[in-house]
Parts: sequence; structure tokens; C-alpha cells
Amino acid sequence: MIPYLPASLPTPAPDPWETRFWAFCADRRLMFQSCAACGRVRHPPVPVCPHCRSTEEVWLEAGDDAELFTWTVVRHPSHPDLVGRVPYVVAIAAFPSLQGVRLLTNLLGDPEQPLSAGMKLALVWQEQAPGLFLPRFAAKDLS
Amino acid sequence: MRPNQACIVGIGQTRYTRWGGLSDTTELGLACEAILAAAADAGLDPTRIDGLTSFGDDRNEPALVASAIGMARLRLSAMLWGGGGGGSCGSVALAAMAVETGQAEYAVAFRSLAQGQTGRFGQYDPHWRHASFIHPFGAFAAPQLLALAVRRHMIDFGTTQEQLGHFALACRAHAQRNPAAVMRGRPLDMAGYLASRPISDPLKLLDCCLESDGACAVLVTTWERARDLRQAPAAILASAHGGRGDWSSGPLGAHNQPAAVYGGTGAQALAEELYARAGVTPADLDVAEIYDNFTGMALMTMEDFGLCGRGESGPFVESGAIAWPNGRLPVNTHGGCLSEAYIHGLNHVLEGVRQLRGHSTCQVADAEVCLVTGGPGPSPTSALILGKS
Repeated sequence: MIPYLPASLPTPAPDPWETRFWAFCADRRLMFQSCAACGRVRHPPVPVCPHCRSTEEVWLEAGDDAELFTWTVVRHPSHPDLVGRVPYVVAIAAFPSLQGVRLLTNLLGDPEQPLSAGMKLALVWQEQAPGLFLPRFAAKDLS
Repeated sequence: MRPNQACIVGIGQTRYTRWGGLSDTTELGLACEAILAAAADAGLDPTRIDGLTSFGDDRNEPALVASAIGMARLRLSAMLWGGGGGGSCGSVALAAMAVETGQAEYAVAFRSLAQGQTGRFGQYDPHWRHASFIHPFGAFAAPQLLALAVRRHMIDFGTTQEQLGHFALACRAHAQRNPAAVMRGRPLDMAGYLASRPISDPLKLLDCCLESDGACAVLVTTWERARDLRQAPAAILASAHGGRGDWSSGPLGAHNQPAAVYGGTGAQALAEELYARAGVTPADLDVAEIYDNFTGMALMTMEDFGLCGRGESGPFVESGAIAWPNGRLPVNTHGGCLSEAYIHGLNHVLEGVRQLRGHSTCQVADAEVCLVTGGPGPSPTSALILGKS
């Protein structure tokens, strides 16, 4: 599969507590950090639970319940490698089973496709650069 | 007014141009020009300036500015954290705190931009907050990231493209009367707005602020010292900076701000504190200068500062409420960042002072109380309530 955006785009440079998120992605598992003590989930990962201050973490796998929270169709490139690659869709996915988690991602398919908040989304893994697997989504009706 | 209460006694600015327009000087040169203009406006010997403040990673180091303008001493050099213009009003607040506590006597907040030499905004920046979670997905610049929040405001409240346009049109109309405005001489109607180039839906080119060269400065001292100066001071009725504890990188980062305030600026608590400290309510405002990095963000700011109800900013601007001279509450009477210049919103503070002096080119009759807000999106943001002396 040809990745949605060019392989030359910047790749993640994770902080130490973010590395597990990307390690799970490499295994094509979308996992979010949560607190081992109080159970609250958080994204992006942080070293301390802001609710109970525990530093113990467990990782929860996202269910197949992603929904479109909001989106933008990018029509003006702001990175040299995206010149000629617009339009494309940047979207925020939300997960009813993981309250509080929102994931910035892309929505695959025709960028002019009709979109609406709450649309059901299907997870699609794309290898954007060798070994870099990104969680992207497609509208379930169209996938 | 208490004798040691802070007030604004001088304002100064350079010429404002499109980005890259000022190539015969540097940011340091522009900063000096604006600061000296503020001192001249106040009738103060610049030797007596002893404090410098700025915001958002200003490149002009106070030691260089101090020696360039001939300050006798540098007793205050302070800068507020935060990207872009979040700290515009906060830089004035830092100056006010210093003069009220005796740590400086005459403090200047300044902002200087020569984008032709230092680089434009809106491009890829590898040091962006939470970059790992946004850059691989092609989200690099403020309009792309903030368009997501503006879209959500449309989803939640039915805000329309035309309503965003009404904000841009009001700023552009006000700029036609302002000789300093970059967009003077280029009037705009709704058809022209709707025809402007799409950048990142729903934001069009004319929803985005200008990129500019220029500098401006605000001179702050105490009420007691102001008596010996030339201008009637503008009272700083209240100042505040900050944000929610749970805002994180917010809409300019990983979009991990709380869901309940997603299509907003997170500034409600700051606004409540600001009004309480000033002893006024939104109903007491005569005029407001609202930081307008993008039309939709300015709409959310107006809601969070109580100019209208939550979700009501679209109909509010559509009704003509913010248009000078007949609107209920004229907003951005200088043209704002959309049509005067993008001096990271410190130019909004200057316009607030002009309103209270009665010198605006879109003067609100008998203006006595003015709200000025800083950049929405990042935390900290900031705000001021200014009053006529």
C-alpha cells in the first residue's frame, strides 16, 4: 500500500515515556497509556498520572469503536515535501471506550468525501517509512 | 487609583508592513525605534527606562536593547512563556507587577518582528510541542491545527463560514480608517472573503492573520510617577495570564485539552478572575481588542470572555455587534492582526490605549473600559482590562 503521505515527512522523536506507544505501533497495536492505580487513560503519554500522581502505568488497546471527532482538509502545504500532495485530511479520532483519548491522525480515501462528526472509523496501519507504522483511519462505510 | 498602581503612560510603534517589508533595519533596530517612540510619547527621558519585558521567545535580548537605547540600569528583564502571542498582554502584566512592587520604575513591554530576516510563521518547526504525534500526519502549522478546533465549534454550535467572514470583514472595515494598517486601501466584502483561497478547511486565507514586519512598545509606570509625564495615563484595571491546568499542548499540539472546552480557548477561569479583579463585568466594556490569529479563534475568545454566550459568537458577529461605529461592542477598531498588522497582539494593547485617550481612528464615543486579549490556543494566554484615567 502506498502511504497516504510521503515517507520523507518527519518521523517521531519520542520522549522516554512516549517510546512504548511507538513500539506498540511497530507491532501494529494501537495502545494507550493508563494509570495502574486509578485506571484513567491519557494521551499523549506523560510520566505521572495527573489525577492520583501514580507513576505506575498499564497499556490499554483501543477497541474497534473509533469515531470522527473533527477534521480539516489541508489545501495549502506547510512542509516542502507536501507541495503537490494536497489536499489531504487531518482528523481527530475519539474512542467511546477510552474516555478522554483523542488521536490526531489522517482519514484515508477521497479528501472530498462527505464527512460528519461521529462517523465510525476503521483503523488502517500504514508503513510510512521503513519500520514506522502509523495508525490511520478510513470511514467504515467506505472501507 | 492607588499611588503605586500601574498604568500605561506611553505607546510607540514603527511602520507596519507586509512580512519582509522592512529590510533596511533589524529586529533590534525596530525594537529600539518603538521603545524610544513610547518614551517620547510619554515625555520620559529614555535613560530612566529600567525594565524590559516581552513574550513568546522574543529574540531581542534585553542587554542589547538596554545598551542600544542608553538605559542607565536594567532592573527588570522578564519574558512570559508561551507560543506566538499568548503572552502579549502578559508582558504588560509583568511590567505592571514590577513597577507596583518597586522592582522597576519605568518598564517597557515590546515586540519586534522582521520576518523577512528571521523567517515566517506557519512553516514546519521541528521543536513544536508534541511534534511526534502531529508531524508524521502532515499537521505542521497553526492554521491546520486550529482549523480542527474551529470545525468542532461549527459541529457543536452551527457556526457558519459566513459568520467567520463577518469577523474578518469588521476588522478590514476598521483598518480602512487606520493609516498604519497594512490592509488600508484594500476593502473587502463577503463575496471577496468567500472567494479567498482555502488554506485548511474551514479556514481560508482571509481567516488567517497577516504576517508582518514592525514593532511596538508599551511604557508602564505607577500612577504617582505618571503625574510628571505628558499623557493622561490608561489605568491597568486588571491583568492576568495563564490557562487551565489540564490544557497541555491543546489545539496547537496533540489536541488533548478537556472535551468540554474543546471548541474554545480554555480562558474562562482567567476571564472570571480578570473581571473580578477589575471590578467590572462584560456589560461594562465599551470596546474590545481581541487577538485574532484566526477568525474562529477570535470568536471562541469572545465567548470565553463573556462578550456573548458559549456557542453564540457566530450570530453575535453576524448581527453587526462588533462593527464600528454602530455595533453594540466594537471589536478590533484598529483592524486587528487580520488587517492592521501581526505584531503578535501587542498592537492590540496600543489600540486599547488610543481608545481610552480618545485618539483611535475608529473612536468609540466616551470609551472608558477596554478589554484586550492575548493569543488563543496556547497556554498561557493573557488579557488586560484598561480604564480611562
